[in-house]
Formats: sequence, C-alpha cells, structure tokens
Amino acid sequence: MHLSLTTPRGSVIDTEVDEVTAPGALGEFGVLPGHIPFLSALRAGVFVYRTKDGPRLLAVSEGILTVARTPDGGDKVLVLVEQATAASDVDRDATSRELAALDAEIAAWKKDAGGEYKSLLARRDWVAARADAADRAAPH
Amino acid sequence: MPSLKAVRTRISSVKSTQKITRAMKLVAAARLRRAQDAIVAARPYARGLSEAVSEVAARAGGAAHPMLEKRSGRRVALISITSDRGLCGGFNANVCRTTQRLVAEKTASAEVDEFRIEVVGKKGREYFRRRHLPVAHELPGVAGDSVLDRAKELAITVSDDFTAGRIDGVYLIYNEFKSAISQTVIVEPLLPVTPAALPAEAGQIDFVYEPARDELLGLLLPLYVQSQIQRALLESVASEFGARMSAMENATNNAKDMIERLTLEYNRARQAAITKELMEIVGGAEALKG
Repeated sequence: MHLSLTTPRGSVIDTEVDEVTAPGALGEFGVLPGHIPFLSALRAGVFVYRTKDGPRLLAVSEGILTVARTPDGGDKVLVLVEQATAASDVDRDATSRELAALDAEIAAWKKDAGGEYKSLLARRDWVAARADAADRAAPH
Repeated sequence: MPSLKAVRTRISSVKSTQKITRAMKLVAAARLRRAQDAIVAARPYARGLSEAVSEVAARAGGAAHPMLEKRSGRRVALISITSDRGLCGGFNANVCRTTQRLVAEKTASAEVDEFRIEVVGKKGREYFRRRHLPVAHELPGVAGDSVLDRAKELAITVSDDFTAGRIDGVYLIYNEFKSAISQTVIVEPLLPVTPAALPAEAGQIDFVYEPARDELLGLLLPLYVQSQIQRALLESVASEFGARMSAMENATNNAKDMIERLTLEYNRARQAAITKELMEIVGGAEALKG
C-alpha cells in the first residue's frame, strides 16, 4: 500500500508501507491494505507508519487522510497535514519550554477569544503532538 | 557650471547608492527563488484539500454547512495583503488602491452596506489609517515561517465571523505572482466557499466519512480556507521580491545613466579649467612680448 504525506511545504513521505496509524478526529485508527475507501479528518497527534524496516513515528498537526483504490487494485493512502516532523527530529527540551510558555500565554489571555486566541490553542496542540511523538519514540 | 569638487562628490554618492540598490536586487533575487519554490511546494496540498472539499460538499448537497451558504446580506470583509517594507515599486500601492476603489465603487452603487478590512502588512496599515478606511484587524506582514500562523489566524477570524453571520462575504486582495517582472493585483472571492465541480469518474467511489459528512465539512472547510489564504500570502511574498527586484534593477540602471552623465560633466568641467589655465598662460606670454 502506498503512503504519501504532504504538507504546504512539500512532500514529506512517499513510500510503500504495510500499516498506518493516524490520530483521527474521533480517535486513533489504523489502516491496513484492503481498507475501504475512506476520508477522515485528523487532529494534531502522533502518526505511525510501518515499512518492512519497522515502524516510524511522526508528529502531525490537523489535516485529512484519504484511502482510495488505485486503478491497478492497490491501495493509496493520502495524508494532507499542515505540519509534520519526524519524532527523531523533535527537541524534547525545547518543546517542554515552548509548551510552558504557550500555557502561560493561554492562561494569561485577556483579549477576546478570536482568531488570535484559537490559533494560539492550535499552536499548543501542535507542540503537544511533537512532545508526545518524542515520548513515544523514546520512552523515559 | 558646478565646481569640479561638487561633481566629484556627487558621482561618489551616486556610486554608493548604486552599490546599495545592486545589493538589494541580488538579495531580492535570491529570496524570490525561495519564495517561488514555496509556492510550488504548497500546490499539491492545496489541490488535495480542494478535491476533498469538492468530494464531500458534492455528496452533502446544497447548503450542508454555513460556510457554503450564499447569502443575500451585504456586509463584506476584504483581506488586503501588503508588505512591511517599501522599495518595491507599485507593489503595495496597487493593492491599497484596488481596495480603496472597490470600497468606493460598491458603496456608491449601494451593492454593499458595510465594509471591513483585514489588513496584512505595515504599508497597507499606514495607507488605510491615513484615509480612515474601516479596518477591523491589523496584522504584521509575513516572511518565511510566519505564513502558516498568519494564515491560520486570518482563516479562523473570517470563518468565525462568516459562520456567526456577522459578515456575508469575504474577498482576498493580493498581488498574484505571474513572473519575476509581472505581478497583477487580483480580487478573489474566499467565502462562501464555492466547491469545484467533481470530475465525472469520481462519482463512482463511495467514501466512508469520519466523522459524519456534515461534521467533516465543518473540519475541512476551515482548513481549506486556510490553505487558500496561505496560497495568497505565498503569492504575495514572491510578488514582493519580484517587484523589489525590478524596482532595484531600474534604480541601478538609473544610477548608471546618472554616473555617465555626471562623468561627462566632470570631464567637461576639467577640460574647461585646463583650457582656461592655458589661455591665461598664453595671454600672459603675449602680454610680456608686448
């Protein structure tokens, strides 16, 4: 089954995989070869794909995942997310600091809960997803 | 005729200006290449989202979500994208003037009752403030990494206002990047979202949606709107560098012409001085002969 993961910065993954686990809007789900055509929203979280070399972990922000049949009978998983970082590239200490700073900013928010506030919350979700991915990749 | 020294000072000052404009041109050219790459890189993502939105919206039919709803209301938000820095020809002025003209025309013809402007970039902010146009939010200009955050913030703001019925339409006004030497200002409808028609063969695949269709649309549409704003911001960034590159190229050429003219003037003045001295010597010699 073919997996391609694309962000606005370009393609991140374009490879053959055996299994995909993604953070769906309604909870984590897995995709195996032969899955029915499927379209799901993703929230920020940990994305796992397994190739013959073993599983790989990524932190992803919100986006969508579609599963479709290719004309030759194969499966194609297309993931569109705003941001994606390999778990191994995450600087765990930096994310902790960033998370603390964002939490402080969110707690101290005095202005209206408009676009600026919500994009702050989204940024926090993304940082939390990165921290989560790093923890799962290398448990303490 | 100015003195020799004055002309010489002038030449060296124009030369150093030329050095600056040439350096700015080179910097803009390098950044332009990166900005162009960013536009190309963002395309597959935007296309994928747009296809997903068309797919879900077509199956959901009509007005399955408030953001797809065409309303008769006449309150409009304009997102004007300018830059923080000048020295880029008509780049900012064109966006500002287009926005102002649109507001004036639609207000005069009573097509729109109320305008509000979401302005990105310092240049636009200054322009609209001076002319007392109705600005709702002022955001700093974008560069590199801030594109995503800014797009998200704008997308959430206009989507929330649109869904809540505070505005009935949203337009993007920005410089579209055609080539390094050509940028055109375009006015593009953003909300309500008009999904592209589905290709014929797509109708056969029956997707399973998660969450259910209407709820999924609620998650997809803000992402789609955000990707559209992001695209406009990226186009604008590339256009800015393109415009600055041409402006600086022109400035460098003008400086070159000016240096040529001044050098000619300098040589002429020098020649005149020499001639004058010779005349004096010859005149003196003649006088001595008596």
